[in-house]
Amino acid sequence: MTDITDSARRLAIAYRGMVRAALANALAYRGRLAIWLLTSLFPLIMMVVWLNVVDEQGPAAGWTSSDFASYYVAAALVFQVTQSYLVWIWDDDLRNGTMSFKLLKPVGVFHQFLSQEIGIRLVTLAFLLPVVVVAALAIGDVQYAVGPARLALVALAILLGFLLSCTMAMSFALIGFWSTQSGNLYSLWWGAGAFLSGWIAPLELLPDALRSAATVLPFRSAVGFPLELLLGRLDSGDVAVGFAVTVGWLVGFAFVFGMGWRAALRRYQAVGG
Amino acid sequence: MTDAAGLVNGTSPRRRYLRLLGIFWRNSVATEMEYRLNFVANAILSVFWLGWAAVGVGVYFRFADEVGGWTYPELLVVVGLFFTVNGVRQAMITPNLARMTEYIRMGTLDFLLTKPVDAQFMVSLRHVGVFNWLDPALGIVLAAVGLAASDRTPTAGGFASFLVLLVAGVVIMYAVALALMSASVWTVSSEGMDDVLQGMVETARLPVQLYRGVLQTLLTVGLPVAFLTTFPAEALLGRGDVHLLVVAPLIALATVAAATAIWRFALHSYSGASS
Repeated sequence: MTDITDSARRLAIAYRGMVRAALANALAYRGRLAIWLLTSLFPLIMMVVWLNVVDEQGPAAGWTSSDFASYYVAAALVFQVTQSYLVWIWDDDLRNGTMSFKLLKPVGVFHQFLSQEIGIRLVTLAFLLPVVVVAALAIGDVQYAVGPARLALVALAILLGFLLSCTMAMSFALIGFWSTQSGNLYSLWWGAGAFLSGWIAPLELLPDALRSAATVLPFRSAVGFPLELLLGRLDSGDVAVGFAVTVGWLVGFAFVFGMGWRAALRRYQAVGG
Repeated sequence: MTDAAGLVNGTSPRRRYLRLLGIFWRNSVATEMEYRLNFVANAILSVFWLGWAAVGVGVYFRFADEVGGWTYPELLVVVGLFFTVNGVRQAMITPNLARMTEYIRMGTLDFLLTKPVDAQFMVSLRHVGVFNWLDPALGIVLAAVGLAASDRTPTAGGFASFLVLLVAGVVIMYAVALALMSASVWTVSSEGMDDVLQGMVETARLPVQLYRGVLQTLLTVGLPVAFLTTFPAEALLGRGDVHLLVVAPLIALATVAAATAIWRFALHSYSGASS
């Protein structure tokens, strides 16, 4: 028992150091950050079109202007959680040999990439938050069902969704050990998933078949689920199912990564990595 | 390979530049065709993203027959033209814009400035990205599908207007890219410049009427996004403003002239990599 708590503690200490380094690294690129901020506001463009629809036709499937505004303003922050370039960063490291250095470190490669992601996300969100707050005030009409218990649930959902998103991305990244197409395959996965996650449009606005499929697939966990939770559109049954699905897929992909990693290492060493 | 001296002497400048362009592009194609799997994979992804965009935009029309005065098939024309214009951006602008950092940091810009051809030509057109070769063609196909589905056949005049406006739009996009390249001479980096241009062009996925109020004005007058896809699409659909046929080429010429002036000014103040 002490062995596990010991290694858990050591991992936690390692994470603290790695995340701090990742934060410093990410901050070095703050010139580009301004531009990333612009692209992060893309959800607001989708929102404007929906507001047009509601203006001309009235509420869509019961969603009012206020609902759309609230959804997309929060989405500008939440979408950041799933949009990671992990697969391409990983692929780059494989091609230019940095992976060999990463393999020599005493901390697992998975944790190195995860802490790097945490650093990037924290910096991006820190810069994005004030912009989104200003946008929310400018748009007006933004309302959330915010009690402290619900906010805690939303935070938990976002955290678990982030972990799932990273584990899923890294499972795809493993393909890079065998093929040059890991990025393209991940793009296909993400693209198809965009319809089932709440990215293209809030899931309640999609046909029933897609909505049912989305409830059991991993895509909703980091996007639609926290947003619907924040907007107060889920009853406790839905919430429980949502968390169960997220945790289930997280465990599943962690397992896939674990198995795949062993095979990938063998291959990497076989071809002289 | 062609003899450089033969290129410089005894041929008119226009022929010379055209032959150079041919060489550059054959070179880029040959390099990128080395990676045949990537070539095919990118073609598949092009078709995927086109379908993705066409279906994604359709969600709005589950609740309305028209949004901002545009029906679904009409909107598809805009989406198709977006893929065409964006494809041109990715093929002809992105590879060159991305290399500006390298030119400046590595001193290659000094090297380019000594060549017997115009530096602006070299910096703008040296590389062409072949991976997105399919996008412009697919975009035209989608636009044609949208046209057919909206029961409109463009008149000869409408089609000619469309060509004029589309070319004007692409030229304006190039002018913005050139201005960004000039800026990178000052900032010694073109990192993020392509992101800026991409962000601007991405807003052309939808017709400018779907944005409202301030945003719409901004995208028509401030940043000329409306010229990229909205105006050419309207010409094809027979609902364009005739005055644009004069205004658009004028604006295209003006922006290119301004961008070229900025570029020349940037080169003037460029003191070379060794100083």
